[in-house]
Amino acid sequence: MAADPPAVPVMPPAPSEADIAGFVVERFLPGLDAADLDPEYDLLATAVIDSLGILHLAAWLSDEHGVDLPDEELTGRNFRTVRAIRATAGRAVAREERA
Amino acid sequence: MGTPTEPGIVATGMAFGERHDVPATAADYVPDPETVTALGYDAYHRAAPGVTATDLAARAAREALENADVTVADLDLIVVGNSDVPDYLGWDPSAAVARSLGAHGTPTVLFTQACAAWSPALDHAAGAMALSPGVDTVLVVLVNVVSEAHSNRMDFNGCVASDGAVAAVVRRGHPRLRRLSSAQFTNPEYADLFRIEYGGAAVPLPPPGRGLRDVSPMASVYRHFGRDPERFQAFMKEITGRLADVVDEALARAGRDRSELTRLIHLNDNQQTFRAVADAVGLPLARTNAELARSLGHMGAADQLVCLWRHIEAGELALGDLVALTGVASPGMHWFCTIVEV
Repeated sequence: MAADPPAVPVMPPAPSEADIAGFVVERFLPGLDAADLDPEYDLLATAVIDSLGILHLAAWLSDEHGVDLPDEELTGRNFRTVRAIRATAGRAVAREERA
Repeated sequence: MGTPTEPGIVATGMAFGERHDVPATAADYVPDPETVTALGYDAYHRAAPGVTATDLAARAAREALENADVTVADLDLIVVGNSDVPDYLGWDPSAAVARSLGAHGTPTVLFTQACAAWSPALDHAAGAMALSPGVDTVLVVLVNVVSEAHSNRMDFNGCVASDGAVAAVVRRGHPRLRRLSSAQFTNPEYADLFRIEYGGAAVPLPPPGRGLRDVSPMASVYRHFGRDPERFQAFMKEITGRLADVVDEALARAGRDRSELTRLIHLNDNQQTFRAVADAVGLPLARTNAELARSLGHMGAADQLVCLWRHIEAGELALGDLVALTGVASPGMHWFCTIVEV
């Protein structure tokens, strides 16, 4: 009997914009309905996200979604909006899949 | 009754780089200029091409000597604090400043503890006066010129870095602007934070394909705390908490307390940090140099004396007022406070 081929690791999909909006609202904008958070709302210019916020988001992506961001992705511009955070997570997932 | 022995500042001089507008130029430095404008700075100064830290330091020093009506020959000691990468390795900017001023034989000393250099520089002047009866007049010069080859003035540590120098003629027993006391706390756990990774003896050159500025200072900070938000938050709290501690310690050494404090002059930090620092020390933001910081940028070790003099020129300080000059400096990490009575 032939040996089974090695299992191809299956990467979890990056969290959706709705997932990210939910976390952002829960953590940084209590009282707001996540559905009301525009995915292009500037979280940096409005001081919703700062250097500590970046770490909270990176930890959430890692702990809850298995998405580990490389050091060079931990910059403000990658966390400016819900859409930017989704793109940042998507790049990390794609990188893992290539590896 | 004897003459007071505490040194006092007789006069100062300043020299800045060319003024630039932060919102108009932030995009030249970072791909996301809104993150820079959110720091609250309006302007910064940048030395013109070919203008060195020694040039700015010497210009400030000449102005201070003129304002104090003393010549370089009257100086017993020259103390220089240089808070960014010096023009050369294995080279002493304090001697270069002395040469530029035409000094001959006057002892010089250099402090390089980044933007903390102002406090040990003033302490050294006071210590020299206390230990050596012949030291009566000291020139303290503090200069910051960002080496843009080594760091990005708008993407470093939450400040917009600025090029400037300040010099102060300090005299034994001078009755105005008396340096009363200092206190310092160093947490060596943070010795590696915000270091410039390449160019020193450990790693003289960046790896092939990488540049001197390719290592993000914040990424290395995040790494230091294991990317743990709780540890990072504790660090942020430590920054302001220890600052209040050194203010109290310096005040106690002068036999004073916080209720007597007229003004807090902190490094020219971003506006969010100013609010945290004012809260920690228990002073309203209006009694700090937060507004001056907006228009000056962070001039490294020069911030505190530049702002002290600006507040005096603006009539915001009166005879007898008690001022705490404070700073938090990396590498180190150090917390400093020097108490000055106007």
